[in-house]
Amino acid sequence: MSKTILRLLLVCFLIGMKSLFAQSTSDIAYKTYNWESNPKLHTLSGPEKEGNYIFLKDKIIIEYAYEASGQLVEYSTRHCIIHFNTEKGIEEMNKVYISYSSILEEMDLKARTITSEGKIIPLSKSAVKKIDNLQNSGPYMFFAMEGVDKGAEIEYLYTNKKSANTNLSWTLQDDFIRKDVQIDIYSPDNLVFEARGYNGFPKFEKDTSLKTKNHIYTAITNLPILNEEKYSAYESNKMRFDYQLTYNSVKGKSRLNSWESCGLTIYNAIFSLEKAEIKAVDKLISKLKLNDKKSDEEKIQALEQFIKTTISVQDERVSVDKLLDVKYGNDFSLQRLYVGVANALKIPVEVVATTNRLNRKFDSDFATWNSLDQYLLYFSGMDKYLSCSNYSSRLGFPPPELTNNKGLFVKETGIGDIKTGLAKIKTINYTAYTSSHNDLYEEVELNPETFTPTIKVKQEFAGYSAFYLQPGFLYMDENQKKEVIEDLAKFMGKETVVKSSKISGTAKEDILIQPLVVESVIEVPHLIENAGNNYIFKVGALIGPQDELYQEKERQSDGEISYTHSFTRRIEVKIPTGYKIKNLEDLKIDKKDVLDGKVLCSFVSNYTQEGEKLIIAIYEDYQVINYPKSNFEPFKKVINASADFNKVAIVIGKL
Amino acid sequence: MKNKGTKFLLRFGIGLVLSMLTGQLYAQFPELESVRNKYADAAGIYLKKVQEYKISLEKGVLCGSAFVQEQIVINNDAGVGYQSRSVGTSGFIEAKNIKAYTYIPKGSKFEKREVEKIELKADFSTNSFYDDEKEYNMVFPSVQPGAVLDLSYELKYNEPRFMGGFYFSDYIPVEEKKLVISVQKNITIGYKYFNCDSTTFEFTKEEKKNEIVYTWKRLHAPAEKFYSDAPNYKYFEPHLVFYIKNYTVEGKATPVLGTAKELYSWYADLQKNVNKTEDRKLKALTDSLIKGLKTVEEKVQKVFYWVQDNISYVAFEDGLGGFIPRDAGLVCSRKYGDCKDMASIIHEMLRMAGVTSYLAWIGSRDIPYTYTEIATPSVDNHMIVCYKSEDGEWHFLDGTGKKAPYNLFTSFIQGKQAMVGVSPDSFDLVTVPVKDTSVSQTVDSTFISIENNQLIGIGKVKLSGYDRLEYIYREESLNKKEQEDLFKNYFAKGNNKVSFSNVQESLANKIAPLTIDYHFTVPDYVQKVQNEVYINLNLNKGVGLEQIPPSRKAPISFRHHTLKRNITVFEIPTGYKVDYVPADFFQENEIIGFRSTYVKRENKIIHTFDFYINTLLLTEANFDGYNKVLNEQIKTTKQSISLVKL
Repeated sequence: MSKTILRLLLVCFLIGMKSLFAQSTSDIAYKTYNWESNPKLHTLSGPEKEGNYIFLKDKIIIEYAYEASGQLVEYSTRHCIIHFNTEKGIEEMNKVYISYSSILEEMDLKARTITSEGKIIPLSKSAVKKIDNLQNSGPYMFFAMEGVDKGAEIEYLYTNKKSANTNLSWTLQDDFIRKDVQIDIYSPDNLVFEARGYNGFPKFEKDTSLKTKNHIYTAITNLPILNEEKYSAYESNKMRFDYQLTYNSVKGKSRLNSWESCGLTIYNAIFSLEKAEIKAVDKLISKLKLNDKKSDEEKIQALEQFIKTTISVQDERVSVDKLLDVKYGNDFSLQRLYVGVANALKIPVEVVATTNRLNRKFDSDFATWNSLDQYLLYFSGMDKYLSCSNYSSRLGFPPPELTNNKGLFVKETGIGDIKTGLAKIKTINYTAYTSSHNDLYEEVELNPETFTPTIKVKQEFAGYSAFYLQPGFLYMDENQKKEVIEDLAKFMGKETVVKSSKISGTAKEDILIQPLVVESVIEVPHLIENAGNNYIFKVGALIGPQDELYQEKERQSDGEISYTHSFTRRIEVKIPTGYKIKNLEDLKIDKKDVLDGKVLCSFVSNYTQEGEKLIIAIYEDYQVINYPKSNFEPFKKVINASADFNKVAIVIGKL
Repeated sequence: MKNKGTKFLLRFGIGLVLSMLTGQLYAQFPELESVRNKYADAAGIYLKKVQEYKISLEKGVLCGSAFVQEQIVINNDAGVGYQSRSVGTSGFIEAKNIKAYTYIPKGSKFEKREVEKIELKADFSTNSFYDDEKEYNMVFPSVQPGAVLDLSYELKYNEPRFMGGFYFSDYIPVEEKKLVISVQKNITIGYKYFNCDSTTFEFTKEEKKNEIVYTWKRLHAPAEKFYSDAPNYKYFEPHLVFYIKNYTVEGKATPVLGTAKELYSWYADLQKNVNKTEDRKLKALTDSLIKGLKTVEEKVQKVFYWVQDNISYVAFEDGLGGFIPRDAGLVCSRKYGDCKDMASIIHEMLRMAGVTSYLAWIGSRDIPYTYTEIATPSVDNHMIVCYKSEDGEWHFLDGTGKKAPYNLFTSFIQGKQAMVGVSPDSFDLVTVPVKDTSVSQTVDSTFISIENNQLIGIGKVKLSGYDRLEYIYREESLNKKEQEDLFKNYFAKGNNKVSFSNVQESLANKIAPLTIDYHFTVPDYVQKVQNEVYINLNLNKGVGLEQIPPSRKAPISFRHHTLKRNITVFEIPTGYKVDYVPADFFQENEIIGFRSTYVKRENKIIHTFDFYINTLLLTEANFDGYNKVLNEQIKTTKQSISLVKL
């Protein structure tokens, strides 16, 4: 959904025109804020000297104020000091980019370099360049700082008057140090803003000393580095704050944003179609013969298969009839089409607004549009979700990062023709681990002379294990398909020689319904090493490279995976006549992460021998999404068990 | 857990367009079905791609323009991604009159729909801070299999010297590719073919009343194949470069381009006002830097290193500013600049220091041309400083080569021809040498033994030349943890269970090799079975190169020549004797090769493995020899030694 449009609607409604509160610009806080007139270089200590650069100051002042016309505007101020430790740091950060989307007026912009020798070089205004649309990110102004050398600092301070944006989210933690972070939010007496810090970002305080306006603020002297870790939601774990307008005394005493009001806005935007749109929906239903399908699920699947192979996602909102005609539109346009069809077919449907949990977790206690930027449809009759704009996804397999999270569920309710929207916070459950699996069946023969293994391989990918692979086949040309199949057949390494390969499960009706199956015959000379008369067969490599957590030191963040899934593998090796295997016991591994009697994840491998046949069976699964750092060790052991198995080699020698 | 599979990016970009029904039906594209069948595997096909140039004199001024038309037929669902298109525009080459239509199949006829909205956006290339290049973006409506996307536009060349390239193939199949150049009779053009043979195209030259019309036509061009390790496609795809030689007004001929002489005289003119007045601050700085230095070499080093350490690279490509170096004084006070600015300040500081040097134009290795074969601005994209030492030898100073020794120019100008500006009206063409394997080496020595079934060892790696620079460049933008990962990947040992400790990096000065000392442990590597122990002394088997498939024609590009040497000294554990040691083996040719040796000395086995690449460009003729070496290399490195308990 176009968040901007919703926001604009909302801002007009919430703020109203109230010239009574118009404030003279001389009172605006930025007017009295300034940088040091005689700046001195800062002295750095310890880890501050290690990175390429550090932020010594990052101050943000946002002030909402009414214009004489009654329009609410926002004065947005930023003041940063960056210290450079290396040449590379200079190359990366001696350029400053400032977005001026929705800027009404540039109030002030100054910048200076303090060279390592303490010389001050001010920014000349003529060096500031502007561009209307930078790489499709909207208008920007930017400049390169002059005279920057190692040990130098740059400082910039600017204020822009912008159209008021009354809810924002700001992430400030990075892989470099940020010191002296200060946030101040001012607003007219009648407008109350609320802010929340996440992941240890400090609480906002209310300044009671001001009588004519509201002021909330917070500060943190040292914002530590957060490093990225495997199996963690890095973005979501970063310190951030959200804030928004929550009360307007002119509008009454009730809270402005509530999940109910957000839900109603979503309902009104999506559920009602114009006449021409309804006509287009009816035409589509008969064209696709949806009424002939047996179940609701089959109807939705057929609709989705049609849309995802004929209509593409472009960043433009169009009506449903236009969408079907020009064959492109944005997520919001697509949602209206799906909902329109579902309603016409009387299939119960709800719109679910949520967040990407890898970027931010849905916070049910803070009703804000910032938490409503990802959209799904929920079909309660079949208990399945659908993503309208993600073309890897299919009914029942929404983008996994949108599951295992809370969301705002909006459905239609009412009697007769009087309809309205009903919103509720519920959990978007993740799919069972049994529905996503990657299975492997191999029959291995060793060449009696060279011992080079030839393998008949069958790989199966189902559910999320096929999510990033199977739908892609619909959008590739024949050459690209060939290359991908070849890559899949070479999963044991690029030295693999592919003798033959074929694939099935790539038709549009198969996607995330039938498994993707790759069958191939390969030779893997690199899996055999020799030492004199003995052969070392790297049997573990038959399952392909495995991810590992060997180096994991002290875990900083909780473990979190994308989706639950399992692996079943069965390998048969025919041992050449006259030879025996000397160390079969190495094939046995058994690692499980069990909590309160429930298996969270496991890796078990075992073998049997039937005459000249060695049969290895391996099962691995990840049944839950979250692996808290307090109990991370068992998860790590399971992850590493598969990587350990991958290194198992057996020695084959003469009987 | 399994490594995450490749994510397939769906080709659905973003843009903003509205389309309109025009109502009329068109009968067009008679050969459409046969073309679609011919390239059944392709997602989209160019029915035609035509460029029609007009070169004329208007009021004594040289004018160049082109009309471009491209028609793509969407062959299947996978071709829908071609709905988003763009047309580049800049101050030098302005795009205008863009017209875009979808022809939507309706039975045997087509409905024509116009793209209504065409949006302009800035498109800075990743290494440029600012340039004036922009793109018009559009999305075609109602794109579906069988639809034809018709795009046409005009290009106006505000500097006709920038006209001039045409490729006979494209990234998708092309049914008809055509270049037409109509030239007024008082203008002469020249052209040169690259990678073409007589079968590539049909050529006609037609004389009309006032103009000569040159036409090149290629039919049924298959799609170019993309290889990430291939050099720029100019090296192997058939194309031509054309240029204006001269024009005649009232009997007087004015040369434009042709030989290096014309190109140089234009370049010399563009930069004639650079560094006209001496900057006093820069002079004082230079004086203080070279104080007490006697030799030319000392002075060059001092000046070069100062620029290298103090001027950061920021690229500004703003119209002709992209061709004219800025004054040295300005570059010094800003402390940043692009390649020309760095050349300008080095050149000026050397002049102040009493060292004669020259500005030189040069192309990076992305460009295969020399000034001798074709002399247009398409030959170069870079600027350096050259000077001659007393022994008469040329030296090349590239200010953009950060952290490099002064005598190691950037690797991307190796083997390239430089146009050295000796004076306003004389120049020299000098070829930059290619550095051989004695310059760039990675020598990794390890001392290993077995303790508690684990392999333990200490090691020291020494990187020199371009090997050293590449490692430093990669490392510098990484945080501490990423640096550890880089080291682990670069100097992998045994398996991914290896853990490194005490990693100590030292870099004594700008010239000395980078040395890194380390300790390491590898569990699950030594194979112990009953009384026997197997261990492969090739702790790092990969050389990162792949066999070339027989279907490939495109060459492979290497950044530089290199020698990788791994020396492994293994201590035989007490109580064991050596049962088997692999035989020495080598496989070599002048392009690539390796050498593997084992020496037993007292209680140690010393294994040395050398691997070298001795070329910048591997062409098809050498593919077999290359594959053979790689094949033998795999066989050789998978040999283990075995020990038995005494």
